[in-house]
Amino acid sequence: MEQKNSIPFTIVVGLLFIFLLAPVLLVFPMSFSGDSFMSFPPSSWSLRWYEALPQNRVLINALWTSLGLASVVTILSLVIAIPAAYAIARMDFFGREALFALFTAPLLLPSIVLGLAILIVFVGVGLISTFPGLVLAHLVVTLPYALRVLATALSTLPHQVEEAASSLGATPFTVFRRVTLPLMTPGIVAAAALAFLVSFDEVVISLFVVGPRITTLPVELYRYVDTRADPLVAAASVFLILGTVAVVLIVERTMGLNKAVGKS
Amino acid sequence: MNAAQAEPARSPFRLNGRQLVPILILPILLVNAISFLWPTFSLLRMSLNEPVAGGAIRETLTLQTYIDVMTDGFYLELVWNSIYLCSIITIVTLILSYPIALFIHRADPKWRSILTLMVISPLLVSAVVRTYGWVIILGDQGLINAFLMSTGLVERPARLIFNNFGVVVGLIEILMPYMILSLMAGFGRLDPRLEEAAQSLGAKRFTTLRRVTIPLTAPGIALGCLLVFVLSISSFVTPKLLGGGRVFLLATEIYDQSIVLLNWPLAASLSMLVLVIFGAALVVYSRIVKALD
Amino acid sequence: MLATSPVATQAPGAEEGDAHLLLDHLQKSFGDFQAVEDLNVSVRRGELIALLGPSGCGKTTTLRMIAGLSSATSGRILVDGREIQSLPAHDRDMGLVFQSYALFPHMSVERNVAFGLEMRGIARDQLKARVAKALELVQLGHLAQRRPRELSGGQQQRVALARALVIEPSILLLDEPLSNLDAKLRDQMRVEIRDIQQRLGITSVFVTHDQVEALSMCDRIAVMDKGRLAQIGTPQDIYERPATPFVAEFVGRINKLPGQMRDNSTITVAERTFKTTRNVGESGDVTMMIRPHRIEMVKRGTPSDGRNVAHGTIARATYVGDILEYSVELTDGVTLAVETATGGHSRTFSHGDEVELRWSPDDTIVFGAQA
Repeated sequence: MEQKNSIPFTIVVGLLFIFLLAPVLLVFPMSFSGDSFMSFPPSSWSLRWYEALPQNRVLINALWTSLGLASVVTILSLVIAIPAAYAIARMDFFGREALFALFTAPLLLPSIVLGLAILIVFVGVGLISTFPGLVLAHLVVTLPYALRVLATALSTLPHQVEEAASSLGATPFTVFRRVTLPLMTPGIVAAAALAFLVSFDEVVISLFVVGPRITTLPVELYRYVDTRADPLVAAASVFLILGTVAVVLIVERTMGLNKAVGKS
Repeated sequence: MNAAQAEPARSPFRLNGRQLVPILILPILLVNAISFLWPTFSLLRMSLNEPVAGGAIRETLTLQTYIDVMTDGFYLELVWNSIYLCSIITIVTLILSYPIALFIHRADPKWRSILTLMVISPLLVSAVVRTYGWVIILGDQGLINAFLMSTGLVERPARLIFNNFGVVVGLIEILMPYMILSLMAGFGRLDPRLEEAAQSLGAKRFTTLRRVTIPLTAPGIALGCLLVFVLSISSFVTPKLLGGGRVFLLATEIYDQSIVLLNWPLAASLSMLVLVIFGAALVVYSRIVKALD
Repeated sequence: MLATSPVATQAPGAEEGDAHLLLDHLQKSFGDFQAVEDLNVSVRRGELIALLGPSGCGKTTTLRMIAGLSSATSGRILVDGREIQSLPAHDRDMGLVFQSYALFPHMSVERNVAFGLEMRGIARDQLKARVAKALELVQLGHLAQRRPRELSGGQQQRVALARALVIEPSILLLDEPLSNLDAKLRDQMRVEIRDIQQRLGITSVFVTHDQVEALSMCDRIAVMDKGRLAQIGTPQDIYERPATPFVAEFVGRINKLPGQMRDNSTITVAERTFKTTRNVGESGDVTMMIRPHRIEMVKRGTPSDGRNVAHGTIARATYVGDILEYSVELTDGVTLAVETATGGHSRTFSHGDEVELRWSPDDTIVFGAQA
């Protein structure tokens, strides 16, 4: 039998959960503030900040940049990480583990250090304040996540199903396309969602790479909060949170669906 | 054996064809080299250069910036302040996270997955948004001050952000999910029957917690503390926004030196210092894990 | 070149030219570990041969080498006299049935079976007809649209069989295909697989650790021990004339008594002497072996008829349905297992009964004592 949680303990934990979730939840009422500055609780309610949001060219442009950037980064992450994950999870070669450690090492570096390091190199080759520069900078953090998720997905895949396909006459490439790839769909969806969210939310490294020509939404939100105190960011945050929920739901659905039709 | 047989034609495709490996890993290797290896070495190299007034850099090989950091009172205080604040953050995060993790561990499976989702969900929200949420709560006209003023406890708003307090509170909340998840991973080895056994032997609830539960979950505690310490010492957005330029930490100083003051050699040396602190934390962690085994 | 192994009791004519599948000095090592050592087996066309042995004996490794999923360290694999050991798996034309079935979870039963035909570029209408026929063969026509996970273990096994057979492979390879099924289903599938194999006349290699499976289904059995071929022969050969103590003990139950050879046909065990006609040049310390069901148990004092005789007391009698298992303690503490059929005219004994055991010198197997 499990040990039961007592009532006083439940209350303490409830309060701790409020502490944990309050900052995210308070963004919602704040976004409906009628005040022209940040004050909680607001003295009046309105939709003025939702109306102001599309008027803010800087934020809107940054949003489109971030969406485009996250999409490109996601696709590239998959295209680059799937072959690498296949090599690392399925093939036996010298230096396999060392390479895996090298490819996931960027996760160990603090973003602030990585950002500065990238700045130093990218300034010299003209990648600062460019889209390719941002893509490369984001890939360095999304690839380790994608690689890990995909390698795990591949290594839990039953090997014999692939062997069965090859004994039935499928060439290794056909085995990969017709058997391996469909079976690792949940892993691919998870890796894509993770890469998209990480890229879309990335601030610190971006701060070093953005410039007057190009900027991302998190960077602009950061700058906005740093310099001004009005509820506009609350309205923007509501959209960000809802967007994240949508991505998570899509993943849930895809994985759930896949479980229903495929994996036993 | 017979006379040599004709070698059958080899198919162009061979499972486990090792010649494919370089092609498969070349793209990731390229990205890794351009955006990780090369920058990291350049950073190390940069820390050995000498800053010249006005943001210029003189290429040389000197430990001067390291010596400056070690002898300048400001930077020494900065380092100690960072370590001190991050230690406090780690300990308080542990204290606030432990009950949640224990509660989830003991909850029945249905609640367990809902509560776990509630713990993970803040991780999916941008740090900028969550920090902004703390401005709503702790700001001069925020939730707490509104409450304090309405009860008449204070006449003027209390300073809750733009100081160490705000930074500590914000980071604790932002890092709690990592601690809770680490603790839950460690709780995997906690068999509820052991707690029951302790209680059947006459141990009071608190004694059970102290003598049985906590020691058994020590590996999870160690992992969570390492993670939170390392993440807090390298965090930038929250200290910057909640510190309002009045709280000086290693990460914010690296940013200011590199972007505002353009003293890249110094920023690079401070980055190396952060990595050294990382290494030290890892050493302490592995010592503790070894001692626990 | 003759593919003979040191202890093989192969039928004459199992030469390279005659064999459908020939394993010639096949060798596989993983680092220092010899998984398969100098294996020579010749399989005739239409024959079902078992690779039998305990886990780790190299039988599955051998099958994987035949299928092309694992490469041989040295040696040759020939099909119809053509070397195939350097062909990749997808060019070998083998039908493979896995222990875990290894069905494609993301495809329907029909698509699973069609996969191999698609790989061979078979036209649509012909493909449909062949898939339907294969599913009919395993009596699963009505489940064509199901997903593998919606099927029972036995049904999944049949799909795996249909998938392997539909491509009309030159050789069918089965890797412990029945070990994930419950006992009753296993008996049924045993008959079914053997039946299909004989109807199609397909040369088959069947890997198993279950001696009953091997004895009851296969034309011949290759017993493997620690990577080496211990014996190859018909089920009768293997059971009645085991070539090594390992084979004698692994296939069926057997009594084992240490003794000494007096002369070529006389063994002393403790104070007793027994006769044997089965000694092949052993002398000195030997191990005498007798199958429990070859021992006849009678009441004491019945006149002897030239067979070996021993006296003892029933220490334990266990009823296991169709047979009775006795443990008989001889007067000096040696214990022999005896099996008798239940029912019919054989009488039953119970605990404490004094009995006399008799067995023929022809059933008295002798091996040199092992160190």
